Amino acid sequence: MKRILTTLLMTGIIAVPAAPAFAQALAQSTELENAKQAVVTKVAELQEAKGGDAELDKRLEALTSVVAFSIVETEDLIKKLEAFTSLSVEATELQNILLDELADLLLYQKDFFASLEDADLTLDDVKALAAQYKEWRDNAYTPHAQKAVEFVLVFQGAAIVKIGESRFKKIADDLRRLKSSKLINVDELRPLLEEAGQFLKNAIALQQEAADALLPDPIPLTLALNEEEIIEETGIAEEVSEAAPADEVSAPVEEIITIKGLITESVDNVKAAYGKFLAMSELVREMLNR
Amino acid sequence: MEEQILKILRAFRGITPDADFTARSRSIVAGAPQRRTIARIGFFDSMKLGTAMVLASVLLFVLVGGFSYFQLTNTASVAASSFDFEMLNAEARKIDIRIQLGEATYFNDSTQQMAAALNDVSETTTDEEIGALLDEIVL
Repeated sequence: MKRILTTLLMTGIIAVPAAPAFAQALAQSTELENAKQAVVTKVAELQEAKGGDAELDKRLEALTSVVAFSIVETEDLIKKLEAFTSLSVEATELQNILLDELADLLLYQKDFFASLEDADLTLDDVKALAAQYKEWRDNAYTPHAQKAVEFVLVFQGAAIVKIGESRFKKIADDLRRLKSSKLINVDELRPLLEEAGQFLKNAIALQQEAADALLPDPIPLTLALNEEEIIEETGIAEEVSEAAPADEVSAPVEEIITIKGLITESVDNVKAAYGKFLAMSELVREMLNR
Repeated sequence: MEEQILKILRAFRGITPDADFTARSRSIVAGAPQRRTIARIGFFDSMKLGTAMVLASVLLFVLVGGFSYFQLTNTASVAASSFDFEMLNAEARKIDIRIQLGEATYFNDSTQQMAAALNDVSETTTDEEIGALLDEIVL
């Protein structure tokens, strides 16, 4: 346990920014989903209207819905980016760059949207505008937006790892308090806590790798938890043996080449740690019922 | 000094109460209510002793039992706070939801959808997309 805790701390601190409120994220996702559904509906209507009198209107409506979705998506990304505070200097720099880029992209799209209100557009005009917009999305919008998405992913992932860390620390503290209890056999619980610690260690390492891939200069990750504080508070660090490596969830890092893959793997490790916490909960319940 | 005290004590040796005083005192003593003090005092004494012992035992039991109860209560409350199954489960589910509503998958999907929609509207398809469609047909 001591080695795990030491390693957890030596790997660094996760910058724990203030992540967007869960409810807010949910509301934004609903708006985005509604805008996406509007695109699906309009494209379906276009398919039915092809060759008919309504084709121009339906084609224009479909194009308008795509641009509208894209605007909502950009605004959503901007809000999520802006919500992260208390970042490191390097992360803040990148955040500002991404926000400036998204602001430019948003401006272009709003101007484009306004141009669609021109009453004199012909069918060929609409097709040409759609082609122009697609090219712009592929070459200008998507690469920059992708970077912003990865930024949000990395720091949302950091917040999730932090939740796991906090729970781990609380459980370790409580195990120390239960050490003298005659009802709870701490020795039976300790191996599970060690395994949970190993999963969290994996999560932090993967998080670090994602952060390194995102930022131009690698940022050191340090835990918010103080090593001496943990060992002192838990009081079990000195007695714990080395943990067995957790090979159930984490894949070899060299196979994961995307930030999305790294964060997904990191979160999977946090969820695996929670699996161990739940197993501890079941065991405690059994002990209390004995 | 000592001789004076001895002299006074020798003088007191000879002092005796007069007959009236003796008779009066005797009648007062004989007329006072008789108390059965010896048996009652003994019973109360034993009662007090017994009660004290019982109370001490009860106190001891309460202390020991209370301590055990305190330990049990403390253990239960610690176990309830950290190891509450529903609470841990809810936390784990929240993590799941957070990452599922996260950006990466959603963005990738929406990028492809918008590209397809714009293809429909513009009635254009890139060489890459044509290649992918042909692959689907051939395979």
